[in-house]
Amino acid sequence: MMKGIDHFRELYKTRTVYDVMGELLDTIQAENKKLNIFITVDREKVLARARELDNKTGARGELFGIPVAVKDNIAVKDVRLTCASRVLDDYVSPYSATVVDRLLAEDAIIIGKTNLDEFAMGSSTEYSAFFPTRNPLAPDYVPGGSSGGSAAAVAAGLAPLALGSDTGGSVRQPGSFTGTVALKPTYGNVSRYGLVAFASSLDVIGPIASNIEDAEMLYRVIAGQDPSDSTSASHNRPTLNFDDCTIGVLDEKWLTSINPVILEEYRSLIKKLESAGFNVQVVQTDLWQYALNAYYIITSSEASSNLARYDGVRYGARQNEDNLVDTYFSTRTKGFGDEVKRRIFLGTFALSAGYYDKYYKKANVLREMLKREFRGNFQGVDFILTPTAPELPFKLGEKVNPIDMYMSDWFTAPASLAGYPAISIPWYRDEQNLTVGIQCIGQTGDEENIFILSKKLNKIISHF
Amino acid sequence: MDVDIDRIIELSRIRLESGKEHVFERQMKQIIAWVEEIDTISGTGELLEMELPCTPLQEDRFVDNGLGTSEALSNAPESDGHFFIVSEVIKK
Repeated sequence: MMKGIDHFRELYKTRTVYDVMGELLDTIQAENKKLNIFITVDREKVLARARELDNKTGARGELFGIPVAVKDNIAVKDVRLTCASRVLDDYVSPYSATVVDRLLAEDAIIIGKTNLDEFAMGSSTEYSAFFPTRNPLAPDYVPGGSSGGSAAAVAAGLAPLALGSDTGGSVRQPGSFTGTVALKPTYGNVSRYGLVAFASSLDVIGPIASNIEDAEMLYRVIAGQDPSDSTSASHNRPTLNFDDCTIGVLDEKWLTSINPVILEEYRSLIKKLESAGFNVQVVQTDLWQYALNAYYIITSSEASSNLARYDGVRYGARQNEDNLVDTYFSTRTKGFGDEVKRRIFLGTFALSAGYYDKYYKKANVLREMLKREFRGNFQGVDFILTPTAPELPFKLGEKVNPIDMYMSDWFTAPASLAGYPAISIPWYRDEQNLTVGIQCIGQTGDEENIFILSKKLNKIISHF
Repeated sequence: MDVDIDRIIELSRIRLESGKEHVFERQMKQIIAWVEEIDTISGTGELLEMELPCTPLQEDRFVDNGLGTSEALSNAPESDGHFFIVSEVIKK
């Protein structure tokens, strides 16, 4: 079902981009009725772009004619940008994100804008204000979130490449749930210009693909410093010597409440790593038990500030009242969904007078302690390997308690807080087609090494 | 932990919809009780007094002219072509 870049390159040997895209758009229209993957697909724009590429003379870009699905919190000029929220239902972006400009410079085609949890807050794509996305591998189940639409687009074979955004696991966890390759780059290595802000000190745009090589290519196209993003940088570590590579694994005392099948597979993978010649060492992760608590305080605080702009004045679905303050209240009350409201409330509370030190400041102290714990671990290991999620995909409507949903990020939030790169690659699939990925965390700038390790791991993993 | 929901509503400029107040309050109290678990961490004393490292930033550089007036107003709920029009700000 999944298709890679090579599939399209093969088609273009004998067919036009216009022809191939026309057929793909028909398939998307049919599949979207069942799976609710895309929020916006503009057929005319896609075909106009296809014609433009067919008429192009001269050198072709690296992604010539390759369709890319883009999460609907990333700006594409003159295309609706909703963040899956009623408050931005009719908003049309006047500019494109830097990552989109870089894709277009390599002759890619933006095939459509994908569904997400509203403002990227969620782990199942069920918090979208429009509709939940279904997992293409098992349609009664969620595809994960918040980049569920992007991961589902790749898993359903509707695009070989997709962009998502990852703040606490929102690219990796949907990758895990859909059997796709999903990378959260080092914080700063991919420009955030044009990404609608959720938590500015953690947000990262990341590639999703059907295989490691394609994910690597997409990452290379979008990565690099950008003067439009003052937090962007180009962190790159030298290539490691993989003949003497040490992999850190978790102490089992932290794994007692995860799905027992996943625990068993983790034990089995560790043995396979040792047989394959890797050094394996247990790492200290005592602070990981507090990472999610700190994560939700910090991200909700940043979100409460970032989402203050949705007041109906300059853009958005304004609810007019007879004075400005009531206009703010009505616009925000009617425009935001429940999960967004919960997070804004939590962030507002954590930053308010009398509570700032106890919650926000303490959470940032925990964050610094976690970074130090990571640095200590990386003195002795080159990578840290964990399951991407503590569970297999759950059913639509299954998780009603918000805290149960938050627990999905248990393995992914620590690397987000520390700013480290981490990839999820397909690892285990059960007889119901429910999947979980294995996560590999590296140090700042370790993307190249992570891709090399992922290819080696892929040869060792036999279940997928 | 007692949560002053009315104060949070005022600060966040978001009201609770009728019928949802009790559910929301209960959920907020549960979430706050859960995040409060970071209070049990030891060894934070020295770090609480320190200036912690922030997200590193590049120097600001002027990149382009930004959006023109018509583009900036293109998504405005109401405008006169030059300004955003809003409800009364100051009562006469």
